[in-house]
Amino acid sequence: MGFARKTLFFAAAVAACGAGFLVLDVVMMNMQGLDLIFEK
Amino acid sequence: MRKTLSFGFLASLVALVVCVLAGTGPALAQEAAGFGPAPVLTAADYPTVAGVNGRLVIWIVAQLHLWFAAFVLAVPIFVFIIEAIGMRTRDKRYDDMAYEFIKVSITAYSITAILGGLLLFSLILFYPHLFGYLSTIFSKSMFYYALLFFGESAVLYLYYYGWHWLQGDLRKWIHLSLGLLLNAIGTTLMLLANAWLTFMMSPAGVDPAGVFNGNEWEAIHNFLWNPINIHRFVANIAYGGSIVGAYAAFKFLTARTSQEKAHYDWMGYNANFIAICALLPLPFAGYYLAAEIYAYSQQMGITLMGGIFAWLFIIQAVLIGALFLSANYYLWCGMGRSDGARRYYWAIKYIAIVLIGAFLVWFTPHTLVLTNSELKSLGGPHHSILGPLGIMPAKNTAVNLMIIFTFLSFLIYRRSNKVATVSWEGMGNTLQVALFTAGILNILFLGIYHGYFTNTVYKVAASIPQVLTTFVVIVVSLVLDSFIYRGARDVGPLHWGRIPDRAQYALFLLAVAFTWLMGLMGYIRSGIRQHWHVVDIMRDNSPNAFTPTLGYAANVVSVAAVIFLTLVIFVFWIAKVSSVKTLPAGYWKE
Amino acid sequence: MRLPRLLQAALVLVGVYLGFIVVFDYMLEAVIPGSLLTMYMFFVTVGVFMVFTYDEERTRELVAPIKAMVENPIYRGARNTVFIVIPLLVGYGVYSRTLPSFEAPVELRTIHPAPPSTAKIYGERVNLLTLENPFRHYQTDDPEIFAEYVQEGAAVYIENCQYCHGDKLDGKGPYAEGLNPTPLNFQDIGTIAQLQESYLYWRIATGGPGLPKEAAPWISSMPVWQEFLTEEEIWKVILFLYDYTGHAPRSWGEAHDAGGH
Repeated sequence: MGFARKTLFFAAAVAACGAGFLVLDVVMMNMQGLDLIFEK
Repeated sequence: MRKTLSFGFLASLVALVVCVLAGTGPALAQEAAGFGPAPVLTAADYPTVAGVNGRLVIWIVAQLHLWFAAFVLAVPIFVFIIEAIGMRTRDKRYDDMAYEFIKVSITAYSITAILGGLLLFSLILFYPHLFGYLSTIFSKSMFYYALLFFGESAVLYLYYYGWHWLQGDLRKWIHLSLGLLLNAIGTTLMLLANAWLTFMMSPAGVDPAGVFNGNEWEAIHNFLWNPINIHRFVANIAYGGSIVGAYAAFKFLTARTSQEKAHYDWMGYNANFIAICALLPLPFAGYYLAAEIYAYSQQMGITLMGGIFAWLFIIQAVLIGALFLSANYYLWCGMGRSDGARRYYWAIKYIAIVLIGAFLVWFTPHTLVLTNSELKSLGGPHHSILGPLGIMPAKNTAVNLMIIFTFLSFLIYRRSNKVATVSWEGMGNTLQVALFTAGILNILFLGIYHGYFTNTVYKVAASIPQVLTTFVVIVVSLVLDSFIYRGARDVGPLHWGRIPDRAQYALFLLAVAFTWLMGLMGYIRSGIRQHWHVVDIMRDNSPNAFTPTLGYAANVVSVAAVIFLTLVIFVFWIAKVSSVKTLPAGYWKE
Repeated sequence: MRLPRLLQAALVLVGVYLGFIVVFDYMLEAVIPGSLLTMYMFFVTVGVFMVFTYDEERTRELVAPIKAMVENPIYRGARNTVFIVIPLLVGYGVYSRTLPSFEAPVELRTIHPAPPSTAKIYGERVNLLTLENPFRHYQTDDPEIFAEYVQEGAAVYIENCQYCHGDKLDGKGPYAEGLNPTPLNFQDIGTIAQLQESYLYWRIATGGPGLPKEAAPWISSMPVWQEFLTEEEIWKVILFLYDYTGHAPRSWGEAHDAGGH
């Protein structure tokens, strides 16, 4: 794999994992009756 | 058979004391039908015995008892695990190691019992009314507790003395089941004792005057019971691992042959591995306990974390950091056993930088110790940069990072002797790095955003996804790793015993730091009751009801820790003596 | 050329030390307390030691110059110098630390004294564990009335509190300079944002003299406000404190309902 493709693959992987973690955050906060983003 | 003797003696002693109390204990006798309020005491109700300080005696004896109890409850847990591993892998080394562990714990077991008896006597002698009151409420559980010791001893002796007898297919299974039973009884004993002490912190089943409603289960299942149960159970495993690690280190350093060195190196590695596995979830169990204490009573919570005890928490933070550092250091030193470790040495300094950085945040106090000139220069006790690092969200973020990077140390340790053969190795590694990156970003997001830009409900709530992120990173990367290294080839044989002596001292440090930590934290847990025997219900009116100074408390705990460690060295030495044979020429007639 | 490892280690330590000083004292203009810097440097040293000694070869390289200095007769001069200079330095350190000075001893201060579970306020015993701000519910029920109460609280604050705690609630009122410890900064995330409203109520109503005797002596000059303000005024001031700083009082959310006393 070339450098550009490698970087792209890495970025995509981080984004995918990040999205997964974000789902985890939303679910866990919701289970405690809260939204992920705090509203005053 | 000194052990059996002291044991039988103690069991009968416990039974006797329970009977005596049941017969003549004033509180018990008169409240057979209805229960009275908690006694209101005066300084005269606390006997002076032999001119000693009652609180000091109880403090030290209870602490020693707890240390040994933690040890003898923990050892069977991982003896059981190791025996099971041995049965599965059919590697006899595991079985021998498990046997060696249980042998060490047998002596410790009788010391635990002796200290338990001493604690019971001391309580009755120095705090008769408190003990009387507790025993009216926990009459049944105290009785069963005493009886359970017969079961515990019987199973333990069967398990130990029957080790070589119960070998082979079916017999081995019977032996393993005995191990399970031993753990079940041991854990039940701990749960009962936990109920008594948590009742003193968060009483239940009594009205505000302390009149018991007769429902003992309610008193047992009080608000803080389960948080303490979880915390102690996990901590015991880590503690037992660290003590056995110290044993292995001791044997390693005194070993004469390279074979012995290899054996004890291997043992130390396994003990340390178990200790780390239990250490990783421990901060969360502790956090949960502290959060529940806060939820139960703001007063107790603030005394604990923001008030006078906050300074001991700084020591605690330092010691926990020391645990993480020495565990990591041991892993790094251990990489030298493999000839392939060099490939990963470059990563160690980055792991160290993150670990130390997170550790510094972890122990930064909320209230700083400032000289007058510093106070003037800052314009007040508040520090705009360091202040925010003193509160919980920063600590949570730091400890999650420490755990992830400790896990990373373990991951490269595992990899150091392997060469992957799958074609997609590069891609797999990239994926793993991505997983770590995303996980760390998420932990930082949760910690910084929810910690500093929302309210306390969010702050506390965000710690849960934080923990789960760490957990997911660990589990998923272990799974990924197992695929990447499927069918991997070894670099060469592992050289057990090829580890610097320094690493053994890291194992000692682990055990000592653990011991000290448990003593200090145990004092805090007990101390946040302040001038109450039973919080808000039964007041401590003894001359010793005050909260001692931090220096005094730290000294008491340190002295107790030294006594404990001396006893532990004695236990190790006894285990060694038992296998030494002297053959004097011409002493016995032919 | 690669630097000798001992020099590397020393440079890292000096670099980190100077880094702390430069970043905190000069760039951020918030001095790093000496007590904390000592602790930080201790563990940074431990970390450096760990990284430099985890395998035999590195350790040997690290200690080689020290060993050579002690064992090799060529370096006798250096050895003797070091053996004289180091004890002298240690001696000077001990001397300067134990030398009496006019500096007041360092105090361990507790920012949040633990509240009692009940307190006597306005002649009545109130349970601080369950006490709630009677006006808090208007925040959701009737924001207009709520805003009015906040305004009233602001007026009370400006008349009574800002002299010490400051008109920006940052603990820098006109009298603040004269007090040690300085008045609390409510903007700080570590103060009222960590506390329940009942705590503030207790602290305001009973002031310095009401601080718990368990951790005496206290040095707080906070007046006993229940002698000067009404109960309602105190609760309204509390509304204002949170409203102005944008913090939310500590609450237990759903977790609290499950537990309880």
